[in-house]
Amino acid sequence: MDQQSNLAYEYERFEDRAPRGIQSLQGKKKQAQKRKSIVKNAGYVVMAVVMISMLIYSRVEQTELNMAYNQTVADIETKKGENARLKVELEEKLSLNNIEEYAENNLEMTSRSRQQETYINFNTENKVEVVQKQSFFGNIASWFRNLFS
Amino acid sequence: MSNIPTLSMKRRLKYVVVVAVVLAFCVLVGSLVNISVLNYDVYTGYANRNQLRPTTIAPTRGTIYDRNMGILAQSATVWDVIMSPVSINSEEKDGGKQKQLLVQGLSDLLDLDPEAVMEKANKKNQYQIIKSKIEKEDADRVREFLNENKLNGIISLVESTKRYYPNSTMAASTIGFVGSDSQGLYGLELKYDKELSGTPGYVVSLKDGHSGNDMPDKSETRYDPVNGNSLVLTLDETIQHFLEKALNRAIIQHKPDKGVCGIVMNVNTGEVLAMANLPSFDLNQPYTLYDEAEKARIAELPEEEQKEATSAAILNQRINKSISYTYQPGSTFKTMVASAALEEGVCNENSSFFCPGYVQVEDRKMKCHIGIPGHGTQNFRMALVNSCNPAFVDIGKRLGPDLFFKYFQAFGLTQRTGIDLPGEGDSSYYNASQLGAVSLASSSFGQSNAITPIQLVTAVSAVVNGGYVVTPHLVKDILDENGNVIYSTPTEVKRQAISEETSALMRDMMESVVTEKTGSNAYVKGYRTGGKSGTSQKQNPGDKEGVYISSYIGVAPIDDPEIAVYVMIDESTSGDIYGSVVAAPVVTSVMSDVLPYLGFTPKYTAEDLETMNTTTPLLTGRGVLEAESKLSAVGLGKPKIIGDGATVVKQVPSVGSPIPKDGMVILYTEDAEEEMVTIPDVIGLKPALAQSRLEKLNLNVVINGSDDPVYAKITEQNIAKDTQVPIGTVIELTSVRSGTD
Repeated sequence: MDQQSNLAYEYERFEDRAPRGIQSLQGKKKQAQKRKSIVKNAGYVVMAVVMISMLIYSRVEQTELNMAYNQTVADIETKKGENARLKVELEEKLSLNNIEEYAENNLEMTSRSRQQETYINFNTENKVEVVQKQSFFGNIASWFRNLFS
Repeated sequence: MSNIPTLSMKRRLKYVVVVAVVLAFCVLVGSLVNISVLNYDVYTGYANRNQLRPTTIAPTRGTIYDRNMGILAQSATVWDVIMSPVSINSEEKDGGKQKQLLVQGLSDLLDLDPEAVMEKANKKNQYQIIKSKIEKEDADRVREFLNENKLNGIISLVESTKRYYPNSTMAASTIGFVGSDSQGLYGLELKYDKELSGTPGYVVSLKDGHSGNDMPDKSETRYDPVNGNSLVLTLDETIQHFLEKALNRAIIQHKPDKGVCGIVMNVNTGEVLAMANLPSFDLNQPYTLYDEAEKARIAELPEEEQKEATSAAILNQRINKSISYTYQPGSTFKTMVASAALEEGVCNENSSFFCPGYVQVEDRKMKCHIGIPGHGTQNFRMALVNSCNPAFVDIGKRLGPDLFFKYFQAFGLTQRTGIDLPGEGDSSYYNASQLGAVSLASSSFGQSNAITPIQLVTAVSAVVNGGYVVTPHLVKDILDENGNVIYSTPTEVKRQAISEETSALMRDMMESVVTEKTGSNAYVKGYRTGGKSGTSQKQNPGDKEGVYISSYIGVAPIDDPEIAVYVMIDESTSGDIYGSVVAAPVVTSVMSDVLPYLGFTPKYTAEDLETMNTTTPLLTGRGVLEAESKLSAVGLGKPKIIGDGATVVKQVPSVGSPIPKDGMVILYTEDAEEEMVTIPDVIGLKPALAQSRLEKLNLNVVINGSDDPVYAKITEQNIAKDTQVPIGTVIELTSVRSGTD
C-alpha cells in the first residue's frame, strides 16, 4: 500500500482501528493472560522438576541408606570376627600353662599340698527344721491355706 | 494447474500416514510382545547377567569346646593382602617411585623381605598375594598407608578366615587342624568337618555399572549362610593339662626315643577325658617342626638330608599314637587273660602255680623277668601281682587257643574301638587256628599280639566296670549356632565280656598289684587304686633290637571305678625300662591331681598321715618364745635361731611352704645375711641316704613317691645340684621303687 500522501490526515487509515482504550485493555488482558499462562506453565515445570528431583533424591537416599546398611552389616561381621579373635587371645593368655608359669615364676606361689586341704562332709540325710512360733493371725492364715491345699 | 493440494489428495495422504503409523506401531508392539512375553526368560536372563551380581556369604566354622565350654578352636576374620602389579605406575611415568614406596611400605608394615615383595611387584598380572591371613591391626595399618599414599587401586584387602587354637599344643593330635580354605585336615577337625563347616549363603542383588555398589531393589534375593555347628568334647582341659604336665616330666627324665602317650578315660561311659601324644606340635603352625630335640637332631644331619628329615619329622609329630600305634602290650594284657581264666573257671583265686624262673614250651625257653630261681610257688592272685610269665603261660595253656581267642574277641581286640577320630589302627593277632603252643604261650603274657593303646584302655575298662565293653568317644554334644544341643553322644555298650562277679574279683586283684608291694610306685595317698604295669619288647618290622615299651594302666577308685589312666613310654633311654618304674609314677602323679579335681575325697591311712608333710606357719613378727610354741603346736621341732633379737624378722622356709613333720625352721631375729649352702647331687641314692646328706646341711627334705627302704632310689630333685640356697630350704625329692614287672 502506498503510504506516501500529501494529506495531513488520512482518516481512512484509522477507520478500522479499534478505539484506543478498548484495544489497550484487550492487550493488557491478553498480556495478563499470557503472563498467567507463563506462570502456570512455569509452575508446572517447577512442580515437575521438584517431583522428579524428589524422586531422584529419594532413590539416592535409598541407595545411600542401603550402602550404609551394608557397610554396617560388614562392620558388625568384622567386629564379631575381632571379638572372636580377642576372645581366643584372652583364652591363650589364660591357658593353664601360662597361669601356672606366672604363679610360680612371678608370684612365687607353689601348688597346694594335700595337708593344706580340709574336707568337710555335709550330712544331707536327716534334716531338722525348727518351726517358728506363729502369731495369732499367722495361725488363722495357715488354717485358711490348709483348707485349700 | 493449481499447486494447492486437493481434498482427495489430503485424504489419501492422511490414509497413507495413518497406515504407516499403524504399521510402525504394530511392529513396535510386536517387538515388545516378543521381548516381554514370548522370550521373557531369555531377555530377563540377559538383563540379570548384566545387572545382578551373586555374592557368596561364607559361613563361620563351628567352635570346638572342652567339656566345660573352654575354647579349644575358633575361627575369626582376617585379611589377605592382594596386589595388582599391572596397576602400578610404569618406570617411565615416575621413575619407579610408586613401586619403591609400595614395596618398602608393605615390607615394613608386614615384616616381609623387600626383595620378595619387589619380585611380586614386577610381575605382569593382576593378582599377587603379598601376605595372607593378617589380623585387624595390621590390616588397619595397611589401609592407613594406602590411603595416605593413594595406593588403593593397587592393593586390596580381601576378607578371609583363620582358625585359632588358644592352647596351641594341648591335645594337638586329637583336635587336629584345618587347611587354608578352612577345611578339616586332621583329627577331630577332619572327622567332623561336615558338621563344623556349615553351608555358604548367597545374596543376589542389583549392582550399578560404575563401581558395583548395591542398588536397592525389591527383587534382591538373600539366602542366609548356615554357620557350622560347634562341638563340645569329652576332653577336660584341666585333666589334659595334668596329663601333659606329667608326660613332659617323664620325657625330661627318661628321654624316650619315640615319645610318650597317655589316655584318661571314664571306664563306664567311654568318655575320653584326656588324650596326649608328646612331643606335640603347635596347632597354629602345623607345618612347622615344634620339638627342639628333634630340630637339634636334624641340624646334625648332612645338609642334603635335612629337608627330607624335616618333612618326615613334621608328619611324624602329628601321629596320634594313642589310637594308631600298635604294639605288644606286655604284662598289662595279663588282666584280660586272668579275667578269661576266672570267667571260664579254668582257674580260681586259689589255683597254684610254680615259677622256677623260666618255662619250656616246645623248643623255646621263655624266661620270667625275675630270673632264676623265679617266684617259686604262688597262687593266682600273686601270679598277677608278681606278673609272673611262667604262671601266665600255664593259665593260657589251661584256657586253650579257642577260649583264649574267644575272650580276645570279646574284649574287642580284633576290631577297631570305633572312637570318633580318623586313622585308628588295626590290631594284629593270631586267631584260634593259628595259636600253636609257642604263640599261645607268648600271647598269654602279652608278647605276640599287637593292639593299640585305646584298645587296651577299653578292654581294661571292661575288666573293671562289670564286664561291659564300651565305645570310647571324644565328642559329647553337637551344638547349633544358637547354642542348642542338636546331638548328644550316648554311651554305647557293645557287649558284656565277663560277668560282674569276675569283674569284682579282678578289681580286688588289681588293687593287690598296688598294695602288695611295699612302697609301690603306683600308690596314691588317700585313694584306693588298682593297676597293672607292662614292659614289652618291640617286635614290629623296623624296630631296633633290645628296645622296650614301658606302660602302666591304673584304675581309680578301685572299689567303684570311675577313671582309667594309661601311660606309655616308648624306648626310654634313661636306663630304666620297666613299666612299674618308668610309667607307674607318671600315672600316680596324674591320679594325684585328677582324683581330687573330680571331687573324690581322700581317706588317709594312719601310715599316710604319719608321712604327710605339714605347713610352715607364719612366724615373722612374733616373739621368739611365741614362735617356738607355735611350731610345737603344729608338730614341728625346735627351730634354729640366728641372732640375739627377741622378735623374728625372717623365717626359712617361708610361710605356707610344705615341711616334713620332723623338719626344722630357721628363725632370724636380726637383719643378718642368710647362711647359704650348696645343694649336692642326690639322684640315684636311696631315699634315707639322700635325706641324711641333705639334713646334715640343715636343709629340710620332702620325699614324694616310694618309701621302700631297699628298692627305692631318688630320681628327681626339685633344686638342681650346685645351686646355692639358704639353710632351712625345703628340697623335694622324687623316689621311685626300682624292680621288674
